Amino acid sequence: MANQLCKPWEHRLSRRQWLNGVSAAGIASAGLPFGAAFADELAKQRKQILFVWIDGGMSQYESWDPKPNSPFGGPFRSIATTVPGIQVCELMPRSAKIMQHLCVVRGMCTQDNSHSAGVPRIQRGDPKNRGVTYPFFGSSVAKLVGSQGTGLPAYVSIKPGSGGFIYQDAGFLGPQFGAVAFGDGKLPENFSLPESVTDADDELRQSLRKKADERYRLRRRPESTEATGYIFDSARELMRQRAMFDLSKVAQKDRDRYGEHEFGRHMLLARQMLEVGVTFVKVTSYGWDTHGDNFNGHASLMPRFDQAFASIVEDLHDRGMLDNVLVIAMSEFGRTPRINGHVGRDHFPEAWSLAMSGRGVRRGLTVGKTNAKGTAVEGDAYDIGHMFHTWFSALGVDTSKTQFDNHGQPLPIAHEEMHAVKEVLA
Amino acid sequence: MMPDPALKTRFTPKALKPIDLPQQFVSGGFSPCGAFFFAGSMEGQLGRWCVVPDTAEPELIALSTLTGLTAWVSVCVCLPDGKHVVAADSWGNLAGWSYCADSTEPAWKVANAHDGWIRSIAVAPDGQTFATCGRDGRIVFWSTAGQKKSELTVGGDLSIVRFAPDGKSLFVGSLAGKVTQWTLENAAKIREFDASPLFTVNRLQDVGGVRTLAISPDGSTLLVGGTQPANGGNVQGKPTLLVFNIADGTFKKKAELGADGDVYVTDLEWHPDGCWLISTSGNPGQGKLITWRVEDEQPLAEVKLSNCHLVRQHPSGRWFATLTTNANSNGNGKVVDKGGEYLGNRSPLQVLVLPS
Repeated sequence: MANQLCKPWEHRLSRRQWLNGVSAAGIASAGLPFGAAFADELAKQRKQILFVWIDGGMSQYESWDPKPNSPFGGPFRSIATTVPGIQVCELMPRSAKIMQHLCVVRGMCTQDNSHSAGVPRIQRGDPKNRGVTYPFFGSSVAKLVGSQGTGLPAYVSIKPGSGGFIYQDAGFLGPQFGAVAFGDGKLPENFSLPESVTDADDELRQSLRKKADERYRLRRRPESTEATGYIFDSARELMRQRAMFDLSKVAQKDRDRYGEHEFGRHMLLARQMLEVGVTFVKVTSYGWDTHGDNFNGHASLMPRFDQAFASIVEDLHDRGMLDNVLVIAMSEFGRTPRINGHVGRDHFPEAWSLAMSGRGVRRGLTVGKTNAKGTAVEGDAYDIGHMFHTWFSALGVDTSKTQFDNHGQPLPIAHEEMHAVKEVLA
Repeated sequence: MMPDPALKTRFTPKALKPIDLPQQFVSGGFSPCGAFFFAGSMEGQLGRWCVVPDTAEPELIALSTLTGLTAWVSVCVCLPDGKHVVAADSWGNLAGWSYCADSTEPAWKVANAHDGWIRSIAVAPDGQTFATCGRDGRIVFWSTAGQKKSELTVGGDLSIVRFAPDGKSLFVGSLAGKVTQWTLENAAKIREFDASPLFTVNRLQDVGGVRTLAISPDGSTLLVGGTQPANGGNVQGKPTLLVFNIADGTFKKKAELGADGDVYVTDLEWHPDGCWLISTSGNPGQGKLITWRVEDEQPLAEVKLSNCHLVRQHPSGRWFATLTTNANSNGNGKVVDKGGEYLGNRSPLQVLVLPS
């Protein structure tokens, strides 16, 4: 947000988006009598995504697609879930208890077995190569769905390590559709107004800034000033909502449920962000590339993932938000059936799983399957392009009628030779 | 001090031709008479072999596999009665077989002896009791006929249990890098040994922990093996031994037995001629069989092998063996044979001899 080196073109924004932001903020700040009801109605119509990125490759055997007592099945048992006939690995007992809310795709078969190429390839939907850089899913949603009147950034990333503005995610859409990243789930420094600056002072400063923007606009492309204004406005809205970053104010019971570890805290912050209306919240967990000591690794990784993942799905359900929020949990690939000498599993895009819940998705089922040893998909196999069609459909975006406009070049929003997985869609 | 050159020669093992075992095994051991070798597989089987006597190089003849367990047969131990082998699996089942009998079925079996993965079995010096431990944080004591005698809840993911040579106390190691000593008379904790250098939390992952431990035959010294973990995910770290005085719990020394990619000390056995036999396993293809004495700064000798998961001495004293993993065991994506069949890995049994 406060990147002093960024250029105006990095903040380019459509007039429509800007107006959307202003309209909601205006209603809220004006205190109009119908404001609360209108905000409720807006919230009901809101389309949101929680995208849980498990970086490095979660093992499908030790999670969603166990093959107990088979040659490559590993040491763990499978356990029953709330849905008869569906079992998951014993390392995820809490997800087993919310299986009625979940849709697990066990028939994933993708194209890339390296991290460096696979991570962006998966998150861009692996479209046909046309010599352009496609946007990550979060940036696509920021473009196609927008901020929905909240005034908040449309695409937010909560991740370990550093934060900042990840404009690279946006590809040809332009940097303004990149991710606002909160490193370690923290607000950027100097995000609060100095105590010496009152609200009235700040309003005065903003009006001065807007006047300067107006003068600047006279001699520049209007998108530049709109983009700059959008960034200032969304930053100000975030400043107003900064209390959500203070997890010490969240009930201890909830903090315990999610877990005091990094991923638990970040998922709890994701809940806060979804509650205030952020359209796309991405939560990243690192450290899943278990080429060595895979089983002892997953023995501690999985329960911590399970704890936070099940908690947020439960909470979204209990708060009536699961019909609005599409939840996706996935890696760039799964892990090999064969177990190497370091008692690890390597990268395996040929047959793996991901989990979904929420908006537009059927719940309490598995879709697709692998063979008895887990070495290949049996029946229909799904690539990431199928998933992009499916997710856009779940959000109500018609992939057959919607295109990106890359400076006049129409481009499909998902791989045009693939389709939505009907069994997944509600 | 530096090892005596003559000792180095005496304890430099020579690797013989490995014996190919058809699948992957995670546990193993010889019968006290030396006529049988057992190995627990990743496929729920307890392999049984006859050791051919009086051959120039050890030979194994496969016998019928012992059945009754599931998933990983994570540990197997022959009882000193010279008749029975006990094994346990990663689903919490425990069973005993009379290994000279024709039947492949267990003589007794305890389903759900633990809640999940049983990681270690130790036989008491009197041969009348054995103890098991595992992921459920419990130590359970059993008669050799599989009758439960008592249990002790320690907590945590318990990776290894060993009796003191005098049979009066018990040592327990955990994957959280803790080692504790308990009296057997009243199950009271005697002391803790600080093995925390062998453990770290990396993001969401508990990494490392105690992978093996052994007590010197005179009961004075405790050796704890593992790695000093540098990271989670693809775990890296130097294979490391921590040495303690048992009498007062004081730390004596740390021995680093390899580079970061060599990762874990996986097993320890005392050789009666006066050195420790140590196995290590790290990145695919990286492993060692090491001979080492506590008083030396460097190993007496080391033989590079592909991922050594355990070391067992043949009762004859003429040779010992380590379970390894075949070379080229790793690789991303789908690896298939000419017929399109997906390829798994194997566990060659590497036989080694010391100069006579």
